Amino acid sequence: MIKKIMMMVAAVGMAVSAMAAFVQPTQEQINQAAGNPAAINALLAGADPEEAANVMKAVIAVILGNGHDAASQQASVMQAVSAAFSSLPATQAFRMDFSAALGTACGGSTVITGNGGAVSAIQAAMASTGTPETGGALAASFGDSFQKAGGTLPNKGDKASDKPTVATGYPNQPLPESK
Amino acid sequence: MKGVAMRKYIGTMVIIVAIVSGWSLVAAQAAQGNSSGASALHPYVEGDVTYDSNVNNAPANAKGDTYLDGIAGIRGGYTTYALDLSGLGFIGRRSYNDSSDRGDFTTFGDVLKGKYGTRDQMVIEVDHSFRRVDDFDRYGSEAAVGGISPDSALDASSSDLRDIHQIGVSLGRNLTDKTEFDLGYRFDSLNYDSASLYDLISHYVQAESAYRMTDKTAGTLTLKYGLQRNDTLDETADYTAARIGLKTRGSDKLTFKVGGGVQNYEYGADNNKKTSFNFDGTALWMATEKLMLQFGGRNGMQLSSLYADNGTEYSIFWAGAACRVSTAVTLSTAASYRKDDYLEPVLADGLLIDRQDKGTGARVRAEYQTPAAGMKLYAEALYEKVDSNVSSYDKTSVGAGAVLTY
Repeated sequence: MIKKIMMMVAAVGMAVSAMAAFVQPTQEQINQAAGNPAAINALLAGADPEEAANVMKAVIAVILGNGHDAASQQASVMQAVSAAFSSLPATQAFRMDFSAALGTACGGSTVITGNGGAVSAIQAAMASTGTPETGGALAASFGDSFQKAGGTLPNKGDKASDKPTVATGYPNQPLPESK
Repeated sequence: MKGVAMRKYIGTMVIIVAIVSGWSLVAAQAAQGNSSGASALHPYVEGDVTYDSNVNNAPANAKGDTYLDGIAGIRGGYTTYALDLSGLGFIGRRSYNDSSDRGDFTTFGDVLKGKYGTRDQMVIEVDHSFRRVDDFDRYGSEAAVGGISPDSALDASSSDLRDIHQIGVSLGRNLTDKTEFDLGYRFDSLNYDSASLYDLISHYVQAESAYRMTDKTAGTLTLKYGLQRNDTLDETADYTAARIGLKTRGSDKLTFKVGGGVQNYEYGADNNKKTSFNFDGTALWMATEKLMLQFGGRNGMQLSSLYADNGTEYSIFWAGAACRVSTAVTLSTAASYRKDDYLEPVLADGLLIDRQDKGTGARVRAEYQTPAAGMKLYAEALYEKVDSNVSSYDKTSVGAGAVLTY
């Protein structure tokens, strides 16, 4: 009986822990996580997909500004994104929502859209999550949201991306945009 | 250029340089090289050569000419968990082969955007753009500010030197799990260099609430009020619109936002009133990872830059597609249509007529990312035609250029 009660208490404790309210990280915590992927787990506790995406957007931006060479930065980005998937709920639905939210967040960041290698690294980390099929879906979800938010998926050699050159609107007029 | 205009020009240049420089310093705090912390700066230069079959958009006796465009600018950004800053500053010069057809000109400006917070608490967006342009407003599509559709579209020819100044502020919050609320303000100013065209100013306030009906779909209610002003003649007009609609949320391949309702316009010395159907919609379809399509349309009413005590009811529709053919080549195309119905008869050749303009445009563009990092080549062709019972024209332009980004 005592054993059952202890197991129930432990289960409740784990559930409460899993449902812990998300706490917005400080920039110092973001900086630390950028250099230590193991610290990402604590930052994402209780985060919904949008909150987790904003955390990872900030972590990735810090990695891209750490002054290391491009290959090292891309490896760090992949490790960070993989660590995020390890920390978040492992359901495909949550992962899809997170991937889409991360695409939206990154597509709105000039720091990230201006670094094609980082965008490729994010998608590569997603593609290697789960099975090839589910991982590919995550990468595609990211890519769609990233482009919808104004980012351009990297071409070879891209440095900074312009807005997608889809439409120019009526001749001589700004393209009307509704949010 | 007149003395007063020259002083205003120089003063504006100084303000723009100060804004862009100040913003760049903030974004590049502690910068080492071109990227540090969560900031990045990317200077760029762009040059192109273009042939234009009708450089003055003339209805008859069109004169074609070739021109060179040179632009230098800087793009930058700053990112933290809750804050995103992005922006650009640019200055450019156009030189015609035969400047007797049309004068050379300088263009410059900025597009700055800031976003802070999350929708669960409060997201605040602030935007600013000033652009001195003559001919195509190439950065106009980047300058949608305040979450409100721009109404400062031109009814005058675009081949006029003009200053466009836009400021937007918006607040957004998820009130409950199912309810979103957004409130935005937008300022637009269109100031022509020519004394024969009227300068326009508008202030808009928009409130929008969305209620989630399903996981992916929300119903929307949008209320909009605008105070428009002809700054040259000191005329004002009141614009109101109310729409209900639908919008998607989430990560579907197809996302859209559409709304329909009623709009009302009060204008002119006699407080004339016009009420009609109002619509505003956009859709974006990621057909594949490499193919993106956009569609949209909306209408509204605005004061005229050509006629006193008059305005136009306009409708705009557009569609475009972008395709990443390979890792180095991107193709894009776009088409658009605009109809302007003037609210009051206008004088043309001694007769009062109901003026109607119908404009169509099409554009194709190919971009090639060269093996040299940061260098992009492009070729572009545009066709533009305006059918009007007062003044029509058509033109074709083809050009090629290069962008070098650091």
